[in-house]
Amino acid sequence: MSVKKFNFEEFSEGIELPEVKNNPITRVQLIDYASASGDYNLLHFDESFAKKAGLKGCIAHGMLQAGMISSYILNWAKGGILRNFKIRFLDVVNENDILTFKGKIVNKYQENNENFIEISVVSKTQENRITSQGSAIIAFIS
Amino acid sequence: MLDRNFIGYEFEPSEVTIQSYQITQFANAIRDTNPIYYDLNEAKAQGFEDIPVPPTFFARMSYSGEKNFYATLGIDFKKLLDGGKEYNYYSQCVAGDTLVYQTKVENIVEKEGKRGKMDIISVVTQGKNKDTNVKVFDATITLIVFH
Repeated sequence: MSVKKFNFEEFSEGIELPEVKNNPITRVQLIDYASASGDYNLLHFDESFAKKAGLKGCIAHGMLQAGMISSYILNWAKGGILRNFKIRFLDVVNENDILTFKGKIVNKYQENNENFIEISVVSKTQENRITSQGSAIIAFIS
Repeated sequence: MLDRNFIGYEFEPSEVTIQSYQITQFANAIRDTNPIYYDLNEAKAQGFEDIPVPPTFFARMSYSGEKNFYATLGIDFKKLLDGGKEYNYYSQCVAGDTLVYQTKVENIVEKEGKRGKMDIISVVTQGKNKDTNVKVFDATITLIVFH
């Protein structure tokens, strides 16, 4: 598979990443993430437990969402090396929520002869609820 | 209110050798279809020595000895809020690497917000490659515990 790589010159502040609408977060995915991450908190896959805790139903692991956002960024920034990734969780992600990620370049700079871009990403549900905000610093070595 | 004596507290270091099936399982769970996580030849064609780990794979290492992390600090889950996470990456980790990682309570400060007084705890985990001693990542976790 050939992969198109970016040149640093192609970037500028304000450039938007293509929006990505993910598949619904299914119970199977929540169980997949529980076993892949070792986070077996019952809130994520036992509906009656989640309801007893006062939730509508099962909620997604915060770090599942973080992982999906980091993939969104890296699969776009071909040829770049991730140096920093930050995530703030702002609202719960419920089972069956459909998350849409939208990112943009918020900074472009050079430091110690290395080229960097900073990307900011917002995650929203089908109801336009903002669930998290992520950001990444990516190095491009020319 | 959390005991301030925990500022600077270090958990015992842990060690793990990363298996490629764990990476593939993790990539599948976050529904990342990039072939570098599934196919060794594709990973090598893209310049990796073996199957690389996705950036948030280290989440499971962010609390050394996770089972006793909250109990040690005396954190009540009902009062806990996740304030966010930050990762710095220094070198690429791939399947077969053995990592040594250790968690330290960096700071605990008190703040007052709409919901009253709270403790803000920063917890830092540093991971390095056991064989080369090269730094791989550090992860800072911010936890909010209401009084």
